[in-house]
Amino acid sequence: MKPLVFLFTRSFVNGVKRSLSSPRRLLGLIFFVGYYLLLFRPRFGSEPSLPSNAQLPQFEVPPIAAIDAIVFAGFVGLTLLLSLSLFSYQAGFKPADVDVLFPTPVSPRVMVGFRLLRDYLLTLVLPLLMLLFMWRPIGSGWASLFRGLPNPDSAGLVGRAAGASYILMAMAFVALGYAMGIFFNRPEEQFQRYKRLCGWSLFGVFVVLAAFVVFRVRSAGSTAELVDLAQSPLLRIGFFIATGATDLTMAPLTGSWIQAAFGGFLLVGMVAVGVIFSLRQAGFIYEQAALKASEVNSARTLQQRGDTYGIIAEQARTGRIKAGKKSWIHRWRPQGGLALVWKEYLLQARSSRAFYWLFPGIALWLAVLPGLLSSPRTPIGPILVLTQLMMVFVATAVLSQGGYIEMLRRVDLQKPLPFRPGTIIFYEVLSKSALAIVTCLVGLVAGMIVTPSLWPHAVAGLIGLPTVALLLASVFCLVIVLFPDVEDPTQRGFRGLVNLLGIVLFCGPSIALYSLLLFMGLPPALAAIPVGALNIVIAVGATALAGNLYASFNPSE
Amino acid sequence: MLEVVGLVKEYKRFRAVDDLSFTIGRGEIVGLLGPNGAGKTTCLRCICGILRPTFGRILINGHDVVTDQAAAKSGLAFVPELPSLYELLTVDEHLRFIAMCFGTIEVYDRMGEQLLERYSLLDKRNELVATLSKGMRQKLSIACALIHNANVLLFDEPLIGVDPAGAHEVKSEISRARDAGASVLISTHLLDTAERLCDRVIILARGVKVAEGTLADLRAMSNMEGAGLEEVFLRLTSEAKPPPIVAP
Repeated sequence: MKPLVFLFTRSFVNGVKRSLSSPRRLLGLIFFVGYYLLLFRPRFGSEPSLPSNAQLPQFEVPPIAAIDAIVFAGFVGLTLLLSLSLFSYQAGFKPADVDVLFPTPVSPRVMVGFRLLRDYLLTLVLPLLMLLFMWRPIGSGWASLFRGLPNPDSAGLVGRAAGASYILMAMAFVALGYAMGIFFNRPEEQFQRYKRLCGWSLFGVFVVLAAFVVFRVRSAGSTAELVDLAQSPLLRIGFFIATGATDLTMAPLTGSWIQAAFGGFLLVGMVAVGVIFSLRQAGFIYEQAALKASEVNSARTLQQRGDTYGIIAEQARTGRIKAGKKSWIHRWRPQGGLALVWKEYLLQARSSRAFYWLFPGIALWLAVLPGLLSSPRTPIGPILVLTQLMMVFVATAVLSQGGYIEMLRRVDLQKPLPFRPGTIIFYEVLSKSALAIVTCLVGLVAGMIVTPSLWPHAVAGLIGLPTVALLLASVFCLVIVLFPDVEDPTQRGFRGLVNLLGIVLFCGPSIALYSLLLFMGLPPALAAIPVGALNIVIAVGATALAGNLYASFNPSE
Repeated sequence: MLEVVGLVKEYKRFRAVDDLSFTIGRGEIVGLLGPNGAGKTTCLRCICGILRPTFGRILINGHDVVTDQAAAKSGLAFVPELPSLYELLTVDEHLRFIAMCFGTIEVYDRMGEQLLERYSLLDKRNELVATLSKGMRQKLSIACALIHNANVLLFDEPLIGVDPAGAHEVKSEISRARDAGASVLISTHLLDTAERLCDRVIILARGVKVAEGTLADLRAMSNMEGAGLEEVFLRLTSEAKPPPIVAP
């Protein structure tokens, strides 16, 4: 156990020291702490005060029932939060643990015991951090709940009992998480089936309980009915750990010590069962952690690079993504450069298929909604074009991010193909803008159907926005070929800034021309024609420039 | 036919390949040998158009790789050391894609199955490339290179990571290509393979060609009669001058 404690404490201390070692990291720490401060203390800087009786919520129910309902709701929330990591205890292991720690004579049981303790302590820290920042805003509200009671000081006692309940509840979840995680991740095929079965069963229970709560909340006519909902046997049984914790917490107020003892025994029993089962299965932990560590590590690296195709390929390696059935794309047999577009559609179909439904769906919604809701004086024509422009930007940016990284990574394969570098870049740009073009076409046509009077703006969009998609795709391509090192974090950060600058520089002339033509009184559809042409000219220029840079791109440098 | 004339490749102030010239005729296998950092991969990448030569000319079947890229590359095939493949395509889609790029999809339709079978890829044809082992990827990379009947073949360490049966198949394929009249350039560290497979070798050290010829020629050049390629290689590369620094 001693080496593990040493490893943990040194890693923690060094991590804190490291965060203070450079202005950049320090800035990160300040942002992190500041985030929580702002998130949980909206009235930052003001002194909290106990609300006067006039400001207090007036319950139609006994205060104890209201407090019980709030405590139960709080523990249910914590139950949901803690349940998220039930099956994935191994995610905490690093490749260094696998390569350095596992070959040492440290017993797997000691390892499981230590990790249980460590994860338990970490779990305790999270709500403490939250309480630290939330204490003032919620403290006064919590105390006000107890004003109607004979002894208002019992607020502190119940708070301490809630803390004790959470300590037991957190341990129960950590121990059960390890026990279930090790069990369901065992290598034999049937354990994967059990995992799916258990996962879907828990999901089913959650859906039933959520539906029940939504139904009761919608039909509730008073606060009393909402408080009564917390006493529902269905919820009390479904969230039995939260029920145990609530009974234990409420004992100082209700005096139901037998019920509290049952709650306490339930929690202690869950802890005992979890710990015993975890330790009995400790022999599997090294193998499972080794598999997970390499998976998590490579996924993390790919995420940092923005390499979406790489992330999907990792999932394919572990069998989570399959090739799927053949589609219309397979019947299309282009020759020459168009084969690059064919390839790109296949890659997008596997890496970004959801976007082909999601983005046109959002575009449709954005196009239809203003027409249905707005008053006659709302300028919904320009709103339609602007929202579709936004969708074009998002769709192009999303596909460009991973797609161009894939292009650079496959340079050894693409450049020897019988095309000039400029030709390769042209087809890459074309394929990256396709989703954006489809998206805005769907939105604009739908907008025109719902509100026919919008046709001048919709036609302007139909002419102009596809060329904007091409322009944006070419700018993103130019920027990534200009800063092609996907491994270098400095280049990654810089690329984001230069993307914005590039959009301003390359799209600026078109925006200026469109504004000028509208100012001169030209109808939007007519103004869009020269603007579309200008977009294409600039896109061709940016593509040619990117082609030249791609020609001299050396993957080894 | 492959012709390299006065090839120079510089990275900033470092000259990776310095004034390299050689010709590979039809039906000839030439080995490109050299220690790590000798410039072998840079040379291959210049020939296949991945890198732009700083100076010099590279002609593939008479077409310049820089000025007439599409024509030059249509007769070329390159198999890199670490196969760079589209991991989210299936094996069949990958081969189909390459065939479409070279305008030979009809050939693939006719011969694809045979090609897949030859490289033991038939049962994997509908699996994603991401799921293939390193050896299988190497086989797929070679299959991609052979799909359009190129007559100039470049191999960068083709036997690294391939099992003995696969290595045998690769060597047979290279010999078959030679017999069919292709010009083959192989960059390798494996001297015994080069000795048995290649008609001629070029030895690079620090970006400079230090020797070229058959094993007998090299023995004579290094005054080591009866010595193996390994001894000759070590002698010749140890005598190479330090790399030239380019004037800023």
